Amino acid sequence: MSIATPPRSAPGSSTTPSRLDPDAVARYWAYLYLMRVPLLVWLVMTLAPPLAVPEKAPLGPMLRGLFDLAPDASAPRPALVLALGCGLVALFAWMAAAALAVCARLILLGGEDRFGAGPVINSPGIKLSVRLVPMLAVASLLGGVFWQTRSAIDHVPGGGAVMASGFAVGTALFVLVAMGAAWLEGELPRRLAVRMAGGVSRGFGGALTRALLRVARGIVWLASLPGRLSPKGYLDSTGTLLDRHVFALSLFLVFLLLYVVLFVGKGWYGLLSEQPVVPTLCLALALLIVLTWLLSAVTFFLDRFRVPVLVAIAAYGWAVSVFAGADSFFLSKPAVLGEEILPRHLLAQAESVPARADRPPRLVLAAATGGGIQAAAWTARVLAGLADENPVLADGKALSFGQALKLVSAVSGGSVGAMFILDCYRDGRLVLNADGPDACRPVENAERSSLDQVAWGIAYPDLVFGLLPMLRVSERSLTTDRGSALEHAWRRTASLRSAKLADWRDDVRNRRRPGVIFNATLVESGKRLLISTVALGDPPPPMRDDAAGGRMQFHELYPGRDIDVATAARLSATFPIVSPASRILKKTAAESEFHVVDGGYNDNYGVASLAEWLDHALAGTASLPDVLLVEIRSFPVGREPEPTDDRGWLFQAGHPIMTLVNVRGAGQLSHNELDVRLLQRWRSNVRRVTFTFTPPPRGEAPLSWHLTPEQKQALAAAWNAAGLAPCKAAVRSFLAGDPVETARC
Amino acid sequence: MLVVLRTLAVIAGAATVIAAAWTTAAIDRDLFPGKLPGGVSAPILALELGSSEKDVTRVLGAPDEPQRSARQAAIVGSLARDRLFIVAYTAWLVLLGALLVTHGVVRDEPRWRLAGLGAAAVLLAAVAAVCDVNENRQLATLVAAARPDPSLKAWTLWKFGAFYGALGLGSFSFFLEPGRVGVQRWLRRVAGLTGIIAGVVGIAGAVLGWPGGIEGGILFAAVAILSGTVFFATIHWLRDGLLAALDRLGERPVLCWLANWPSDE
Repeated sequence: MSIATPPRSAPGSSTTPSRLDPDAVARYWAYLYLMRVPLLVWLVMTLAPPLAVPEKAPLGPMLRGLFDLAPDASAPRPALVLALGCGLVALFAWMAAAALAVCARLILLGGEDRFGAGPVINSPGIKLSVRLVPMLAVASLLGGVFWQTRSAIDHVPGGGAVMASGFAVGTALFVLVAMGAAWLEGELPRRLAVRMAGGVSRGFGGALTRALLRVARGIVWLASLPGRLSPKGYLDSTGTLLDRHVFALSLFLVFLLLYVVLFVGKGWYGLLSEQPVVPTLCLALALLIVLTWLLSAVTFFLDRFRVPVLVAIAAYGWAVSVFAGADSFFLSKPAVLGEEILPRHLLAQAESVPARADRPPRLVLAAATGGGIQAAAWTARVLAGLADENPVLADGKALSFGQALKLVSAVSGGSVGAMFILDCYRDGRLVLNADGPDACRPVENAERSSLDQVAWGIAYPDLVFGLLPMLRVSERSLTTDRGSALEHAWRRTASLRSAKLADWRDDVRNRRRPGVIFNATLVESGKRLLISTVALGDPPPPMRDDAAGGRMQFHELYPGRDIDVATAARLSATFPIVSPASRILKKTAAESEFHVVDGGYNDNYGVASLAEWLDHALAGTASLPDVLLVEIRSFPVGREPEPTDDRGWLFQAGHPIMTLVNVRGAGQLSHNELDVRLLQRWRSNVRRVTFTFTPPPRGEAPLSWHLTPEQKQALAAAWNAAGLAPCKAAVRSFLAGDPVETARC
Repeated sequence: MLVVLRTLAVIAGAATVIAAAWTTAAIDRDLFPGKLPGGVSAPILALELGSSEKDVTRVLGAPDEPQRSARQAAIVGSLARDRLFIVAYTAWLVLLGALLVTHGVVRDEPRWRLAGLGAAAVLLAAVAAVCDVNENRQLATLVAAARPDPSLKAWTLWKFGAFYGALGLGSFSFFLEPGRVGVQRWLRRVAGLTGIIAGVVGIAGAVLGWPGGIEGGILFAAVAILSGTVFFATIHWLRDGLLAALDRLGERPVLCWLANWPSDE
């Protein structure tokens, strides 16, 4: 886009000097800076699809799910769902483009008056540019959606045509919306004025006209407040708000209406249904639109005074942080908890293989790694698969897997998978895939997308309460954010909707369910927080201080408090950015408490807690049971990176962070290996099998709570791969009472 | 004459860009994990510059490796696609040289040095093409036999030397184009400068046998060819600058409606 620089280089002039004009160049840079908000949002919208959708795209693991609008094969009326989704995405993409265009135009046309940045002639070329350039973003977004979705809609007859129709309808809707905004800006005030002047002042019509006029005047008065403080660029010579600002205001109001409609639509038909009818991409676009309007308005006002917008944002963030509601909270309830379940109690539950009563009892312990939804799905698939392959036998020749499993120590995504598996226990038996109201399908539940709920949490409660935390006063509003939205998504079964950690603890005591440790981390101390249904008890005397120094147990930190099982899993799976660091809400929000985050910061393998528990359990026990440690890893580990050619002072400046990040992976793995090896050396009756998910050569790990159909297929194929056979055989042998060697698959 | 040459240059430039993108995208980089000999990132370049059997094994893998045949097939496929690229870039370089010659051979005030530079560029382009064809033939033999041919590297170095020489010389033609404004001026500068930088870096790489220079020059050459093609393609449309061009667009019937809808004016 060119900026006119009269009088020396008026646009279109053939006498434009060929040498570099410093003033003209400076004006270009000035306008680029002034338009940074719409330009950055435009870049995000335009570049996100090419950076996320193609195979091996760098942002694919994080953002690809946003562009996947394919309805589930089991969804009723998939063509309608697809068309509706495409229509809504098109509408919101156009709304975002309109916000960019209007904000950029306000800056261009008000640049000289408000910022002294040089005049811009409102020529046909400028008018066309502010419309065509944002359209590129729309084309990129819709192209990305089409590309990502088309391969997964074989079950929708004429899927491509359905998508195209949806896009067309969404575009037509936008045209109506834009016409509505233009009518609000120009026609409505004129008609109201005519009616008032015509003497329509009595009766219902007159009252309505007066009320509408008052509302319109009130809104315009509010919007022109910044203009009254600093009129340049806002008001004309008569002190009236410029028409272009009124048009922007009209479009913003229409968008606000859509924002509320989307909120209601998601609430009624999205969050509460299994199949999100309103696509997650709409929420992401709504968020971008809000940011565009808000930040553009702030920069338009502040840039005149050369106040950087980041300073204003930081100042506002600091100012509102005085409100207690500016934090994230998780809900807890007072509870009367019974006696702690110590390791020795759980050990006593170990059973012998009925046909081999002469052998020591046997128990299975599982450790599940973190790794987002891939870890959740793999954990559920491995545990469900082992239970399926090792069912209850009537002849008593082997233990069932569900029966032998006594404790799961899980981290992050693994905690979610473990939660879905443990939810399927009915009176001590792991019941999978049963029909009827008791139906339990942990793998399906773990694989189901939760991206929608996270996006809803960011676009609504987090955005609104982030800007206005003083509105957060009730318990419900304090505990409503993207984290709680994620919990809501995971309450997919009737039992999980009401499951409390204390209930599951009672189940462990009564042998109805295995114990579980959801591993989390405390921000302030860096210690592991064990949110569990079992207790570790005091460590053996020689190592009491050291051993207990690295972790805290939930019931010690918060005595007499209980939380939902879904909350416990969510706290363990507080993936950075996706979920907020939260603190417990007891009586009031003003109490100082630790913040809880993902367990993967401290130990992403879940082995540290399990090894400690096992150490406590086996210390001083005369009759040792045989223990099988099942490690579930959702990604291959131990691959040696190659040396690099990195050098220079930039590398020297950045290497501490790189080292810290790499040490987290390498350090945790080596500790994990050493812990288990020492345990095995100390206790020869501890055996270990490792089930590792190996993605296909072109596969990539998703970094959002969404799995594409290809990723689900890859998980299923990995479980059925021949490479896992030795580990499956080892588990089978262990449950049959046979000798077992350590196996890695 | 200049108009004809520029039009042909647009076609040749576009063909070069498309052929290069096709050749690059078609080769599956995942087939070649790990570091390639010489620190280069392109497997074919690694083979071209490889001097020992060990280098060839590092690219293609050991004879018993399951991926070896897939890698060989990928290289052979890439060589087939390279034919189009050779034709396209040779045409582009020859046309740059021809533009220089045309700028030099003006009736009233001939500038023979320019014409000489242009002729040299044309000659070097032809040398590069011949070397490339020969190199590809030897490369096909190498892939089949998995043994390095000592003359392959020589053909490669001659090819790159001639290619970068032709590009460096031909890029001077951008600076001889008549005075332009705005975007055109920037395109001309970018095309000319990156072409000359590519020439210097690439020739240094070819003369010194420095793989980093040869591969680094390719990046500059890509920018030069792309921006040069856009420059020639938009000479008429952007003759008065971008805004003037957009103004003309904005006055066309449909676009005029779009430029004024919705309106608050």
